[in-house]
Amino acid sequence: MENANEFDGFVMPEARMLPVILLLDVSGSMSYDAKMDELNSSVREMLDSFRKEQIVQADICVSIITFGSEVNVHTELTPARDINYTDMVAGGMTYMGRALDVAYDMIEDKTKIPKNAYRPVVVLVSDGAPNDDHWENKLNKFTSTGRSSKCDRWSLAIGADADTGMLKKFLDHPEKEVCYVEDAADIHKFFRFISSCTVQRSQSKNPNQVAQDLFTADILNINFDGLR
Amino acid sequence: MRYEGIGYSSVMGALHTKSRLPNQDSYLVKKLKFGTLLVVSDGMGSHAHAEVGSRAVCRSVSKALQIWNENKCEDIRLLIPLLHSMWNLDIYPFAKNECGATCLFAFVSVEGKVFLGQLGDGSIYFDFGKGTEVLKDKDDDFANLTTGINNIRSFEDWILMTVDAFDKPIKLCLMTDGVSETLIENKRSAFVELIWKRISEKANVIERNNLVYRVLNQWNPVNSGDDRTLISYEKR
Repeated sequence: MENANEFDGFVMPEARMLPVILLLDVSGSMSYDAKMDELNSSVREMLDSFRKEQIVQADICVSIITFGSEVNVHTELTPARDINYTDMVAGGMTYMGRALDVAYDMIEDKTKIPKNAYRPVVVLVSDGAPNDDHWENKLNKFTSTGRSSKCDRWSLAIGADADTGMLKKFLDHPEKEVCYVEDAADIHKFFRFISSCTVQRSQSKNPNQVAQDLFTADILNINFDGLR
Repeated sequence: MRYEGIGYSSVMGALHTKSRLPNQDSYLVKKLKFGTLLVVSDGMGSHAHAEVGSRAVCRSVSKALQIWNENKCEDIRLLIPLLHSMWNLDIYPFAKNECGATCLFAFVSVEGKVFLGQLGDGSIYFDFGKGTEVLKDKDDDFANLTTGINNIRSFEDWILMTVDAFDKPIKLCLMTDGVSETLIENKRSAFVELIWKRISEKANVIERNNLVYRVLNQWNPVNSGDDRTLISYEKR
């Protein structure tokens, strides 16, 4: 005979994951003009905004991969509410190609990002150009093969030395543009935009869908009230 | 006379209630002279008229099936182009890319032949006396990257199956992805089997539908954002 609660144990106890992977440049040049300080406070603000959201359809999980002369997984893929953020420190070269490989492997790994997860957001931030070997091949692999090729990809160029051509190739849609900031003080505007887009996705009927009008949005002058 | 028990219901997702959107899932249970038709369809949430698309799917399968049957077709593949044409006519004057929807159907003929078809997300479970199986195991890279009736690349996108069950017992369960994708992976068959078991204990269609409604309505809140639709069928 039917028992009132017998169907309770069949439904997943947690919402499906919406991964956000940040690929952040922590090379030596990021230590100038307060760029690193601004990046740290922008990431903190992003995590705070994710923590405030009620989980209905998707659980936002964040991973942070940093690249200087070493590539580090600063934060493993973790629900945003559980992240205890520690500041990143700048120093060294710009080994971006290796960081793309680390991110590629993370996205391919179905024990980390299960197949019932929503399409990840991947954000690449840099103030320079990659200077490790074969970075072009690694970029090409990331954008055109495997699961990473299906991710929602955005990029931010900080200052005139950033390789905007390379950052443009990272994007997943021809209508998207690299967000360029001259002043480090504007970094938070880009992160606020990414936060809003992600939250909007997490609360929508189809969290895979990115509104196409956002591709051409004036990111630095966007009205966030309208976006939400 | 063989027993045929059907239970079905659809529940609006919490995000639709919050956004004052309609339930974009649709379903159809239709007893025809030549058999029984079951259809579920999930309107794609990002499309402006998704509910128009999913309702049109249900009507189109029904119309196409009747023409298919009148022509004494045995090949289920011949139903598919007909169904697409019917759907295109049905959604007019709306554009296809405003009405995206999945399509899952099952037809059980009076002779005991079972025809199954699936395009897009959701699941069809079946048991013809040899244990529970699923028509399509999800092999997409991520959730909800679904193909719909609006954006089919080729007829290869359809998963089709024909089984001559003759006088064997037939159990079917059709569900939209609001149900299938939020079930714990290794408990999905057990869930379906419990649904079949409890449905078989009910005396009439009202009790069966109430059971399905209760199950769908008491979904875990963290996974209740999407619309949820399920049809359970048993013939023995």
